[in-house]
Amino acid sequence: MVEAEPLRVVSAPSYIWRTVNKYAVEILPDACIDCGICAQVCPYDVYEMKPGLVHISAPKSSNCIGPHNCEGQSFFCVDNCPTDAIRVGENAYYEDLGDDRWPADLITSTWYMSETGQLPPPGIESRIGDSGGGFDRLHFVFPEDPEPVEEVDTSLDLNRRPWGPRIRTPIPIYGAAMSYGSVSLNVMLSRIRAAKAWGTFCSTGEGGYPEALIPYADHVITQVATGLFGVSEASIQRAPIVEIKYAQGAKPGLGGHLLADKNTPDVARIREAVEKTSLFSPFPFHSVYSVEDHKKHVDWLRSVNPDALISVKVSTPVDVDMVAVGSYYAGTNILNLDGGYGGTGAAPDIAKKNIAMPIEFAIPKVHRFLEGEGIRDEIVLMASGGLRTAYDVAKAIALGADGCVIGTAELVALNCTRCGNCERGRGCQHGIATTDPELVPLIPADFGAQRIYNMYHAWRLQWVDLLTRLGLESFRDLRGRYDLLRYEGAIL
Amino acid sequence: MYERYEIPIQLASPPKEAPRRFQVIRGEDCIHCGTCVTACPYGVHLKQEADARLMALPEDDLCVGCQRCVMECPVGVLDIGVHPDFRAIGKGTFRPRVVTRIWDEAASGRIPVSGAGYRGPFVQPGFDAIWTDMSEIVRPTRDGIHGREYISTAVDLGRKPPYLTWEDDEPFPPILEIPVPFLLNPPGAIGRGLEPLVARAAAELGTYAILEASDVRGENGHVIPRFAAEEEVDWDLLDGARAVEVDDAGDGLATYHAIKEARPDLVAFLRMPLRFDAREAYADRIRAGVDVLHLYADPHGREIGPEETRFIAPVLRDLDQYLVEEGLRDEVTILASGGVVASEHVPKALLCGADAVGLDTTYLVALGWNGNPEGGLPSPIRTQWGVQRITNWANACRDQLLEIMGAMGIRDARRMAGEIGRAMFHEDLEREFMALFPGGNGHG
Ligand code: SF4
Ligand code: SF4
Ligand code: SF4
Ligand code: SF4
Repeated sequence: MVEAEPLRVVSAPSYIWRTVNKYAVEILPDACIDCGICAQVCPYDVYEMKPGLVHISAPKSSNCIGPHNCEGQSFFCVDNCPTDAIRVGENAYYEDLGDDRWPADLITSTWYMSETGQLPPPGIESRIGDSGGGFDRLHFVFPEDPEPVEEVDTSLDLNRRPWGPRIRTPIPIYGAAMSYGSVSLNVMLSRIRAAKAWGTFCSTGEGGYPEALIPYADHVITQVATGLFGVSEASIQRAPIVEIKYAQGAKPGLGGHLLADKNTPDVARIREAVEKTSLFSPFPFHSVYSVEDHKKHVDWLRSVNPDALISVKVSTPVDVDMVAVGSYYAGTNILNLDGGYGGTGAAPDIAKKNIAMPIEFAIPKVHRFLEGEGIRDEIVLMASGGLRTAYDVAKAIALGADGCVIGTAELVALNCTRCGNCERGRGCQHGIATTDPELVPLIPADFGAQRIYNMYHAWRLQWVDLLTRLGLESFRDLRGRYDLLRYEGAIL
Repeated sequence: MYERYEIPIQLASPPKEAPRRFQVIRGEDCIHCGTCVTACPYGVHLKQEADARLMALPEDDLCVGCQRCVMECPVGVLDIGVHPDFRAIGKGTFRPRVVTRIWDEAASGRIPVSGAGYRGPFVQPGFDAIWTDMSEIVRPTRDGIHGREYISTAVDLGRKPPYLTWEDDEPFPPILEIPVPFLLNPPGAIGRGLEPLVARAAAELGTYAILEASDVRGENGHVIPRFAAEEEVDWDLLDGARAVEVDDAGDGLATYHAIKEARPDLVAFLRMPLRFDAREAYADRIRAGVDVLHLYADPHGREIGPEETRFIAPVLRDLDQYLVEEGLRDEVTILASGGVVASEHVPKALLCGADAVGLDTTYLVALGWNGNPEGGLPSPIRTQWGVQRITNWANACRDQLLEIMGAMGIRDARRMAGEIGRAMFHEDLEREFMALFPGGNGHG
């Protein structure tokens, strides 16, 4: 059992004072008399009269639930303002933020949760996106009078073999692989600190193991991928979980690729490579051509670190069920299925949609096949690739996974706008997917860790509420409960 | 000795007036503080040259939509929206993502790469409802490095006899090998007059352009003249040609056989509309010795003729199955056209059963068409620029084909045709998925 640091939610507003908001609240400076009535009436903390100040602060539009929800109510700010100085309206460009998978509401609700640790105001969707299929058309069916639940357990067991260390995380997720170079060191530190605070884990990705992570070694999953960048005996021996990456959902069957611009001297040193060159991780492992080779691979890592759990990350081909069985016989503890709609620092657009099946279809296929083989309860099935929200996680578990691996949502917590420019020139303009020295300080590690920590706090509130309404005591009881789901079919 | 096939690529920028993705809106209350000048890494916001106290109009075309300036403007007057021109791009088969990707490919000749994962709908009709397989551990490589096998994208067009005979002195049927599994169809009404350009692009690529016989002016050996139904065959046009296409309508089949009789050295294509209920007619033609069946769907990939039309992909798949059962599939080459537009459509059409595909709207988009029936082509189009745009697109398409084949572990494009087991259809996956839930079909 991994000890968690004391948990506490602290507000972590963004360094920027204005995010992209659904509603725009404006106070006309010439008309406002600073009476402070708006701050007294609006129940959503949009207005604030700071103690000791005589002027009303700039309104916090991100808290506003929209005038159509307040009109006619006694607290409606516009009606209460004695000088008619308040304008509240929709932001005409709000819907232009984001995309089908991450519509504006999912992005801003994630920002809200990351700032406050609480659920977003009503009217902002925080559970499903607009993609018209998969998780976005899958709904829970709540029993009319659920079994009363005394205490909800959101934990996840990461080893179900009869041997090896017992590891239990208090929340059913851990952090996805993101390599040093594809994201900044500050972002890595943010993620690993949040993982430690929650008593869970976070993967290094294939970019080596920066020294700054060593104090968090008990929470670091180290990845062994085809390029073997920065993989050393020491980094394997330090890790409680070693992840072998065969394929990545966002580019199944293609190798990894770090563009030359992002390969700074420091990145190159940690990867043990030449700086300012493009770094390729080929596909597949050039030493693995069969399940027998795969077993040798697992045995090799186990002999280097007998105390580590071995996780195998694969994509979702036609025969994903057979791949799962092969991995089981090779002796893995955790099988991580990575579906196609997941995040990436850079991948050919063609690979993101067209190769390998979406995770929603792969989870039940594998879960049921392993059940049929009588080996389901010895292997931990983790799902990843396009899981954006607390509800996506719960749905994946209901489809048959034990837990999930989260990447993109953690970046959105750090202000990612999903603009897709991670690979361009200097990299991310928000200091996330970049190693540019001018951009990196935009996300200080303390701030980042708090944001991610807060997001999972809000997610946990949603999980507890959900399990309670379903009348279930733990996620273990939710696994494979198809009877609790309703699927509407994709919109074609 | 292996000779590497390479398509020469070179930057071919879009015309300046090409639609842009974003519009940058700066409200009237801007205080000209200059914060956005430093916030934007792409030089969208600049001070006026004449008066550095004032902001110049934003350079929309450089904006990548990151929202950084929006977040930093101290008075909150900036907004980033989708540009109206971008919204004017066509729909359905020619949705913005398809069109803009072809534009990018035509400009750079390279595989479009971006960050942040997939952004679109879960599934869309047409080729989008198919996923290709991948293999976790085996992969040939395009370069044959590490002792791997090379990947070849070449395919053959022509009749493939089931066995060879030595008794009579019948010559071996002619075969046309093309280095990429696509040909260029005639440009149609929108591209009227572009025929010489299309012929040059085909020659550049080593593939062939099918052109209406009346438009052929002896351009080069990479043109396949097409005779319309009832059209008198102009034999001069066939001098130097290696293949010919005849429309099956009316007396087309008789013309087809007459040409084959006179010119057994030509690979002859018979052109027929795609409709599954015509499968027996196709089978008859194959039994009668047709070399290449060119089956065309409408520009959106729908069958032509029946009241309830289906999309080209499932039709090709079912037709492949039918021809296999009839024992005819391996004798004929199936060339499929219509609705095959984006790079990823090419491998998917092959997996469904085509040996090669014919492209038309793709290169019109590469030349600047926005996929909208109201939209036209920029004019004038310089031939050199146009040829470069098409060859750039072709290179990007081929590179993506290599990626898909590599991921599948298939090293020869000839082996793609009809590999249905390596394609996943949304319809099938969803049916299986739906059955998991009580009540099965959860629609409504
Ligand atoms: S519209 Fe409602 S939520 Fe928004 S600021 Fe006014 S009172 Fe507050
Ligand atoms: S570049 Fe855009 S998508 Fe990528 S991490 Fe930064 S904000 Fe997110
Ligand atoms: S959104 Fe980004 S790229 Fe566009 S103008 Fe603002 S800072 Fe520049
Ligand atoms: S940051 Fe805002 S106020 Fe300042 S110059 Fe730019 S648009 Fe104007």
